[in-house]
Amino acid sequence: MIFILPWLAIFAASIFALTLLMNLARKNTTLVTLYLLQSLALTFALLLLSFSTGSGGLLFAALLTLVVKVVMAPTFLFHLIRKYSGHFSATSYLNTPLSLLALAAITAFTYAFVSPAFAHYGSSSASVLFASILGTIFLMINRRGALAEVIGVLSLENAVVFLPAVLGVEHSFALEFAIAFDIAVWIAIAAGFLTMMYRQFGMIDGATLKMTHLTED
Amino acid sequence: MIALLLITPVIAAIIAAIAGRTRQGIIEYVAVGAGIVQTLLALSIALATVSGKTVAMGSLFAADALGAFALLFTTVVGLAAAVHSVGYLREECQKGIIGFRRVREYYVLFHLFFFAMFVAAATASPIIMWTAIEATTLATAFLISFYNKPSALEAGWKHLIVNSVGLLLGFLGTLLFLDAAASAGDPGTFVSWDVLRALSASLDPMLIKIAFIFCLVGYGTKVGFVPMHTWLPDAHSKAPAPISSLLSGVLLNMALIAVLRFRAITDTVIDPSFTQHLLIGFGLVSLIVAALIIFGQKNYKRMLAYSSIEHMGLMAIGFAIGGAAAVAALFHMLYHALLKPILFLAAGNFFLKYSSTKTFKIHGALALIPFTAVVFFAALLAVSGIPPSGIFFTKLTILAAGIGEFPYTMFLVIVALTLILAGFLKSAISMLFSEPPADVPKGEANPWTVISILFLFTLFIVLSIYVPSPLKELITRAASMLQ
Repeated sequence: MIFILPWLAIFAASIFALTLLMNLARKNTTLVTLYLLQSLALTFALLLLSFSTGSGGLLFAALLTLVVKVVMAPTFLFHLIRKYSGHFSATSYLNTPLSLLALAAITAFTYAFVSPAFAHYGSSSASVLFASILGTIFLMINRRGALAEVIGVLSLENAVVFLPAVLGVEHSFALEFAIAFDIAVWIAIAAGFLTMMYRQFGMIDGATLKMTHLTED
Repeated sequence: MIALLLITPVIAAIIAAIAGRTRQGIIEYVAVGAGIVQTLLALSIALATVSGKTVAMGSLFAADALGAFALLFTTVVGLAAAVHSVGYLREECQKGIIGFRRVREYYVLFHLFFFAMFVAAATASPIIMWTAIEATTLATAFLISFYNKPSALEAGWKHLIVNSVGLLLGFLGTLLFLDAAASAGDPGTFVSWDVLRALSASLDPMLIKIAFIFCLVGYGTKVGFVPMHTWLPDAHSKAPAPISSLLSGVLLNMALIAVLRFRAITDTVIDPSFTQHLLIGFGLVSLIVAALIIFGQKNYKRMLAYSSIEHMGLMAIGFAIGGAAAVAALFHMLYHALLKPILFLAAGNFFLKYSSTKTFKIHGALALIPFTAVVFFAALLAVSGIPPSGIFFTKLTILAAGIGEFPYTMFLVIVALTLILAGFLKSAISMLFSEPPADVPKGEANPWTVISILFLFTLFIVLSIYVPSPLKELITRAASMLQ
């Protein structure tokens, strides 16, 4: 296990770096591509962990991640973007420099408060992944548009799944079932909602949902 | 018994999915029949667990007293919602608002919601419980956006995104609990609540602290704790009335039970004052914010939604205090699970009559729909804690248990509860006792929408006056599992 720690740190850093890039991306297609790359990094990390620990559960997790998150989800999302002409994402609430500052603050906060809690695990990957979790939440808050929210949830799930693996939780069948079930059904439902949004508002992004209709009768 | 309970909603969902266009009656009767069967099964599970036994099915499912208690109120409210749905959807079909396809979709999702709820209540695994609670989010998302209006769509989307993020954080907390168990010993591939409890002495306190915070924030989103509550008023106010009753009477309680199960383990690892202060903090803020909004609320369904936030806050405070207050909080959960569906179903009758959820558009309800109006008013008083309502006694017990240790908190609770009563009375008086409009016909929509309310209200009155000893024993056992 000790020999793969540098590799795990690299994959965790990749997931975090891709989260940062997601916050800066302006096109929806770029956002989905970044998510695909992030899922690929997660797949490799889980594969590496499975070979080093001889864990069948982790191998199963890696294969499921490959099928659901690297192949199915991005294909589905690209299809939706093409179908509803949602190539361009709308603006964010904060401009790029301010977004970067906020992300820097999130990273600093994680290192100051989260790192000490995981210090005895002998790996900095956990705190990097925590920063990634907060970064994806920031993505969902800062970006306008439904697709960015979908990618945010999926990306958050990537970091959430990888974090316990880094800490050494054995991925059981029940756990894998939970994750695969959640992602597959979630994407189907989110796609259903995006379709309804397109029918209702004529677009799936931009200022589609300002939550201004909630006050109507 | 658990297998039968799990399979009943699945069969009902399949029948609803394959039923032909001319078979709406079959779908409706199957829903009511499934509701009756489920209630009887939950009752037998509850009776079996009263003696301290666990009703198990394999290693994945084991209904203890707390699980059986959750199953009991879930099935009772479910039966009432199934009966009410028949009348409510028939009325909507007659008005041409929805067609048969929507009715079929409704019942399929309705049964799937119950399947997920039963799994969440009866499972022995924290991971499967998380999966099931997440499944309820997915099942209810389309039910909230049922009317396909822009506002309903937005409410459904908000519900989906906010709860998904919240539950992912809850998932992280759950995984951290499992990680702590893996570090403490070798719990094997299947970690149950019992395994976590058995290993609690050797769990890493720092990790458990972080894990509990994630679980509290994550499942707390589903409970509706302020400030994670933003999805709740929109979802409750936009969903069809029977679905609102399920969200409020069943789903929020189940999520709170999830928080409490994690709290019971956390308290054996670290100083219990940590979780106590967190629960009191979230509970008090939820109560105060809900009170302020209820007082100025102009939409009666949103008012009821904020009332659910208020009650979740009060229950959190009761569980945090512990002892007699925890038992009272579980009784409060039961009474709230019966009363809030009554209020939402009655609100559904107002909507069917006036086609509006704005309080100022409802006039003379007492003259036009006297049964609904009287029950609505009585339930509103009961839920506010007016004696001899059971909620009066539970509130009194919580306040009495907490006044010594947390006098300022209890003072704020009393102020908030008074404000809420004033807000309720303000809305109810304008809705019920004003002059009825001339163009709205008199009379209830149909018997189905009356029977459901009558059933729950009768049950509430009976349980306020007399609690059968097996139920008392079940609740006492369930409360002891949370401490």
